[in-house]
Amino acid sequence: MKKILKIAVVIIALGAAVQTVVSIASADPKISARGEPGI
Amino acid sequence: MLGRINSFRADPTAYMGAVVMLGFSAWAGWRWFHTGLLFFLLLLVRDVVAAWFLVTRRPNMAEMSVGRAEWLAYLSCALPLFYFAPTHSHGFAVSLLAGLLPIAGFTLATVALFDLGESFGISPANRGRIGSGIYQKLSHPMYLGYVVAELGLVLLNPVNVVIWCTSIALYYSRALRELAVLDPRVGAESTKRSYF
Repeated sequence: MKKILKIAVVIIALGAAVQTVVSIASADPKISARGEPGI
Repeated sequence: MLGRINSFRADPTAYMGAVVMLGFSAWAGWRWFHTGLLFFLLLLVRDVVAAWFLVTRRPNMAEMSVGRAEWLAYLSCALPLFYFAPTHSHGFAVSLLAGLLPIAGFTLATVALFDLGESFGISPANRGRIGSGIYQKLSHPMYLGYVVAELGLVLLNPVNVVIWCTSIALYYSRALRELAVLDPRVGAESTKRSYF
């Protein structure tokens, strides 16, 4: 049971990390504007 | 994992601690609901599990009184609430590190909490030695996790370095006291591993 819960915690943490990277990258003009017309 | 719940009379401070942890979990749940950020789900899980382990924890077998160390432990728990908010927006690298460090730190602390189980407590106590899981490699993984998590707040506001250093000193003091409360042979064995 503890092992399953620990794995669940690590999965949540990985999801949180991905969410953080995507959120910060989309807020960064150098990254979010990449590939947009006129840039 | 699903240990027996202790009676309130046998361990009233554990119930008080559990109420505080459930309060934090409600706050984390509210933030998760409104922001959708999984980091708050991680905090919610940690706080609920901590509350559960508090009310099912083993009795303290320590023969020595912890006295002032108990208050230092509570102060150490409350100190992170006083970190200052970010002063301004930061660059990509700093924002990324400041966002990832708390996730890494709380993941480590939560995994350690599962390993600690019914031996979990706030003030120094001897509820049996834990030498399995992450405790095979680290003596105080929860404190290390908190130090890593709080470093993210230092990156966002340099003034926080004062609180961070104070926090590390308090974790160090708690760790020393815990080793003293445990059996001296266990303390000697613990020092063979990396300190944190």
